[in-house]
Amino acid sequence: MMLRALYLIILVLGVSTPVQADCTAANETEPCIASEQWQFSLAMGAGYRSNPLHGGHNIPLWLMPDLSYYGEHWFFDNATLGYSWELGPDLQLSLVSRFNEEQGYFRRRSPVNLFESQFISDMGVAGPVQKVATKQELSISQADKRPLALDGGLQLNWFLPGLHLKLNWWHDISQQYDGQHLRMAASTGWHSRIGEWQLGAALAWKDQHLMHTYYGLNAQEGDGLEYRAEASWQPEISLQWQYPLTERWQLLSLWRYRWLNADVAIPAEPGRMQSPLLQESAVKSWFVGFSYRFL
Amino acid sequence: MRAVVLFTMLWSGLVQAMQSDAQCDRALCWQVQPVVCIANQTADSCALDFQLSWQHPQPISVCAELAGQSLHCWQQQTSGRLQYQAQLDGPGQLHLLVDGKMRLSRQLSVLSRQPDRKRRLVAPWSVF
Repeated sequence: MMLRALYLIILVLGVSTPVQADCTAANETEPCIASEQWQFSLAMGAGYRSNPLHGGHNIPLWLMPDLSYYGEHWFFDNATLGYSWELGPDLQLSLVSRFNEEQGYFRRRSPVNLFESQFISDMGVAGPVQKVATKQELSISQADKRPLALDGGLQLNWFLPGLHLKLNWWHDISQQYDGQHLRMAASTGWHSRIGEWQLGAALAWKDQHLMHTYYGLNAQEGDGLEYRAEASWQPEISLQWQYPLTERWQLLSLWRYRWLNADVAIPAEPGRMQSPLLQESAVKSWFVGFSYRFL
Repeated sequence: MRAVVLFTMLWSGLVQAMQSDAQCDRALCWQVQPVVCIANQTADSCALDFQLSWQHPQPISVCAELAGQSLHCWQQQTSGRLQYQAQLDGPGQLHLLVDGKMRLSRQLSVLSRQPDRKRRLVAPWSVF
């Protein structure tokens, strides 16, 4: 099994070429996009995003949209609205805004899950849609409603040969959790005989205000169980694979694993308490299907 | 969508072509054709092979310049003709000067077949 996996990795890496970051290059694919045109693709398949909360529903993914528009400065990309400046040939700074995704775990139909929730079904062929809580401490149904927050911030994109670095600073501009969070991400793409690959790694830091608003508990809602969440570091890795079938159709597979920090999940040291709302220490997401480009 | 872009480009080109009829400043007239270069992409450089001709009733000294660079000069003549291939990275101003003074001007434009492409700042399928 290990040998087979190693062989596959060598095969993929051995016959690959890095994706050009320069959008004027003839062989570029992602992450380039035609400017001043709406781009819309829809992926159909199977998959889900896990919900780490007690009593939380995993989010099944049957249909996934990819919607974007890039003007000279303004852009809209999958629910992120931004205004960007080119600081240099390979460096872009943007003012960005989007809904905070944390509330999405607390209920199924929210703007955060807008795209997915349009198409979700309780009948998941891809994975467990309704989880069984093995050690229920506090279900989200017992907790107070968590607020939907609008984040605003800055984004720095740095395009190096074969590597894309992205730094985000987000701040709650809707004053729902009165906090901030950071995210550093790196991704690299390459072509191979068996498709186009994108490997990513990211590290997010979420401050105490954010973590406590969503994962903390007051004595009233916790029925005497009080929990004060602390700031959290959350690393993640992701892999994307695309195989073009025609000009518009392609095979698509996405996978992501996000670790939740010890402060909010598994105790990092004896005596350290985890949030009673959390059942799992990671958020797992995957999707396999076809995508069709409409625009 | 592509058809609309193509139509717009052709229409723009046609308008420019119609404008490329004789232009005059008092007795000095000139024609420049073509004045539009079609590149594959906006960022591409474009080679425009154009023809310039001018006429004046009395012999005069005339110079043609593109973006400040002299292309050709005629001494004490009543007409002149120039075939020139310009390498354009963007729009360029073509001038006709008499005794060092600019008398006529035309813009040489670059249009692209493909829309400009930009780097995507948010990962594709980021709703995932």
